[in-house]
Amino acid sequence: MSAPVPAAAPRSPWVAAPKPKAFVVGVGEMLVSNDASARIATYSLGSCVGVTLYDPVARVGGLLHAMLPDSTISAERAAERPNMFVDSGLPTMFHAVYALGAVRHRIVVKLIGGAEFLDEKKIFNIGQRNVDAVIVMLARNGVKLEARATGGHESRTIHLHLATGQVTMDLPGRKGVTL
Amino acid sequence: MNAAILLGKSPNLKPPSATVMRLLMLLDAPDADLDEVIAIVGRDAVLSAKLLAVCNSAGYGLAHPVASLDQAVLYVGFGEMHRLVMALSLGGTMAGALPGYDMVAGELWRHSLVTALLSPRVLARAGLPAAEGPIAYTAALVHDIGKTVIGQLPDPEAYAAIRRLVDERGHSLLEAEHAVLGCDHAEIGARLLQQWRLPEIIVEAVAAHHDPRPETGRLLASVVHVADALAHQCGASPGLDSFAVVHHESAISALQLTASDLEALSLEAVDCLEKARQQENLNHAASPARGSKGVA
Repeated sequence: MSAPVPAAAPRSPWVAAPKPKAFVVGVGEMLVSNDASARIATYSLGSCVGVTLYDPVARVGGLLHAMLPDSTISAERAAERPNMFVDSGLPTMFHAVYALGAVRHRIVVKLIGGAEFLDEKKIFNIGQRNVDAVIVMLARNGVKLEARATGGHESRTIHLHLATGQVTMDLPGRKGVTL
Repeated sequence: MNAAILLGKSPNLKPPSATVMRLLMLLDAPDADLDEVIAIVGRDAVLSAKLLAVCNSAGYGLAHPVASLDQAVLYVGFGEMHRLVMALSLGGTMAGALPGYDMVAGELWRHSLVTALLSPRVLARAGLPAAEGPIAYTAALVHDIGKTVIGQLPDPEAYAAIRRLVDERGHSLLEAEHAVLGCDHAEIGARLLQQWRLPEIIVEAVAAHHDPRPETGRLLASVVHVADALAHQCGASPGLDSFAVVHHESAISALQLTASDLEALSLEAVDCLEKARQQENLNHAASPARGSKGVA
């Protein structure tokens, strides 16, 4: 079993506790970590999608901020920044958490983002296509999607807390909504 | 309420100075006089310092630091000068927090900058003349300037009403603004720019950036419309209901953009976002009102 999660130390002049770490993932970037005191954040997912992975036993987690569903539109970009695309970024992240000791059947997957404009013809339908790309890829590999907050017309900021695996979202006017 | 009344409630919006307007006109002219440009820049200490800072930034990779203005103007070129002058003159106005749209300081400016950087690229993909680039840049940079008026109204009830119309009735942000305030941010922005005597073509494009009507033959609004959507998509657009916007297929077909053009442009949008962030860092010293929240 894993060690108990240290409670957040009350900050006062008599308590010397390390400051919680926050890693930031940019557009087309991905980060995995096994530092249980850290949080991984990504800001304002528009039509992009954020995917979080978390193994509650190994306490290893990852966050991907992908912009487009399919890397075949630019082989050059895909080689340079595979995490820009769902189809290349998602497998990269799974391999990265495995390398830190995560085990596939324990991994909890959450999906956030893919906002859509109001147009009925869905010309700018990249949000929905990103969401679909993640869902199809997970299904094809027999991985369950635990929770999602997708579509809509707001951008979302997300935080993955590595001590607990909790995912919280900041939405316009509402901060710290748990997914 | 109409746009004029709302504008009257925002006394702190200052037009760009006469120097700036003169400089912008000069920089847009095909036969601009280098000496006059240098003379005008030289009279403005902040602009001079900024120009040298840009020149000596890592992006230019010069072996020896540039110390004189005339060298600096030559190095960065008139296009970059135009951008710099616009950013300096409007960055202050558009950098503040907008509680009405739930935007922290710097967020509207970042969105504007990304849209502006993207516009010439949209223009290029559409096969339109590159000479229109600076105009497209300027129009895109100011397309949401009306939000600085609406977003600072001391009227939380109006914001709540706008939000309800969007969330519960499925209105677009523009329709909701119109229903509650009697006008929308595109209309107010255009009127403000008209008061500031910006060129009519820019005023028109700002007024029409949510309803570009390319059939009129004027494509600038369509270019801004598409760049705006791409900037929203890449996340350079926090703020209330930033996706409650109708996007018009007519703009895309008028610009003859294909689906793969749009995807390629959205990759370029990420580059523009990174460039905007670099510019923010450069501007950091000059404008203290910066948001702490980064966009990634």
